[in-house]
Amino acid sequence: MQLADLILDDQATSKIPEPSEGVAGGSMLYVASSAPSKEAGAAWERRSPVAYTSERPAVQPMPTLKRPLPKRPGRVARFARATLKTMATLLIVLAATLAAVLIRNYYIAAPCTRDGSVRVQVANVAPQVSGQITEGAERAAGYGMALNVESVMDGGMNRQEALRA
Amino acid sequence: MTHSVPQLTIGGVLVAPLVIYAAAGVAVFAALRPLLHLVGFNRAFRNPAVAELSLYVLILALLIVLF
Repeated sequence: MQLADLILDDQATSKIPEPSEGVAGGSMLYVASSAPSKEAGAAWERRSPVAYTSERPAVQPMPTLKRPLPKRPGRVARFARATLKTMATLLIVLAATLAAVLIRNYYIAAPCTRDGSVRVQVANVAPQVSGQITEGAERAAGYGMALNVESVMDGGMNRQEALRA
Repeated sequence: MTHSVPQLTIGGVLVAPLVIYAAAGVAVFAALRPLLHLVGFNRAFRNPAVAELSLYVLILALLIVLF
């Protein structure tokens, strides 16, 4: 009974179609194969456990024991490594953000409009009459210069004088 | 705060110095990249792409401040 179990295991691993005499009717896989004689089955049973026992300890347990052990660090080591990586990334992103702010401040302080490159003409217009500008102020502010004063409230009796400059 | 980089003019169009700095930064970064690969720069960070972008911004800021 033990030999029959061993043969069934051997047939499952190494695909040798060799049914045993005790369980040949129960296994559906080997129905189509030609049934061997009892002597051939006994010969196979006597031969197979030797190859089985000599084969298995040499092949199977060594790689499963030796391979994963060196390349799997401890949980603490993995956590420390991941934390270090995250901290390094955050640190370099922080440094880059500071550098970007520096670049922005640099170009706010010294924009690339210098003498001779871009000519900006600012016409200083002051109304000759005192009062509050109610129209045309948005346009003047948008261009950075006051070129046109359209109406002067409260004492704008002389508009031509205000537009003179 | 002084510009020592000459004004770049392409076909009569004045180009901002930032473009020159950015191009120089790309050149420096491209030259630096094999060295970073040799050192193992990508393995030291959790997100290597973000780290490389940050390094480029740092190089750009250094170029602007120094030159």
